[in-house]
Amino acid sequence: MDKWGMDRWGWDEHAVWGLVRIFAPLSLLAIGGAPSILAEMEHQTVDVYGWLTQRDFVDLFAISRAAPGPGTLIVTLIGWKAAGLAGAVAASVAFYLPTSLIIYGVASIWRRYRSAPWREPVEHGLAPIAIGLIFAGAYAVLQSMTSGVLAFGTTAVAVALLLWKPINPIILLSGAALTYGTIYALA
Amino acid sequence: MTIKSDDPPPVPLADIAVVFSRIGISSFGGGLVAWIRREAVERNRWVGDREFLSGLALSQVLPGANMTNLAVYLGLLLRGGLGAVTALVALLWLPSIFIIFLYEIYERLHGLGALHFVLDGVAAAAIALNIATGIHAIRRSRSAVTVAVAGAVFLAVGVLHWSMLLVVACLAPVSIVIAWRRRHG
Repeated sequence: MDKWGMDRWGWDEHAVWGLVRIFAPLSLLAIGGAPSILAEMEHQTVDVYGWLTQRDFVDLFAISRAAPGPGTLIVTLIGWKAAGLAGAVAASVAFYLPTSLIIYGVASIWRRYRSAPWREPVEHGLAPIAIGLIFAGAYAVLQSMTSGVLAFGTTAVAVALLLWKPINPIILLSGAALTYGTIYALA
Repeated sequence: MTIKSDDPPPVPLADIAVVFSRIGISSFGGGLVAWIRREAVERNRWVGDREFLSGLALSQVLPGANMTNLAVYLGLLLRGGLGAVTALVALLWLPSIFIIFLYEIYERLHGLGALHFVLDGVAAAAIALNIATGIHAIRRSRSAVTVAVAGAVFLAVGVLHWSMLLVVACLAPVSIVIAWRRRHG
């Protein structure tokens, strides 16, 4: 136990199973990714189990969005906060395993019919759907940003730069970090 | 497109592990669609654009995290079951460790302040990566139908917040039939 009263390397059976019970079913409801289940995730972890405060949840969300990797890593982080390492592993496996099996099944069928005559039109038909969903997802994240107009401006400039010439993403992200850092220091 | 062989030369598992680990730790602020496309389509030429986008559509429509779904899909396509497990674990392990470290730092600093603000900027740029990927995909398709369908999906799901499943269930068949008719006259 450290000074936050949390045992990061122990085994809290109640919390570990609680995490599995929350995140396995939630993953199946995550149509279109994490945004669709954030509200229920907050309700369960804050109100029902009391692992976090509301403020904690908002902060964990901010951390998970800024960190590298998929935004759903908030699940791993909640597991860590609730029950240390065992919790992080349990929450991640509970969240990622069931849906990975589903896409695995669908993709296997998909692969088996690789040379079927309907494959090409289906691929052609699905492509614009994927593109539309990319824009919808980007728009949803943009609206949730705390820096408002500045975020829209940054995104607009970055898009313009990317359409102008291929820029290494790391350079682009560092540039944005520098710009924001400068603004923060000056404001 | 070249003729598709039933068994293309297998991609080494180590390559899948390295590439997905790199994507995992590089993708600050999100923007994973752009990162994964860059590696799988442009740099390594594992899949074509259409195969990537149709896999992306499946990943988005099926439940779960879109980007881990996409990793499983690509891993399976490249190397079967082992490939799928490798891609999924490789994508997640580094960011999982990183995010826990970030959280521990945050706990000790009692808040984020400047870091919070700077990370918002990084996320704004990361969204741009995804938007540019979408725009490039539309440009490559050179088709008014693509613009119309993508625009309709964006409007219905993104702006009007209609149920994604319902929207896709209505528009996907239309889009597929259009693609079919263009091909078969």
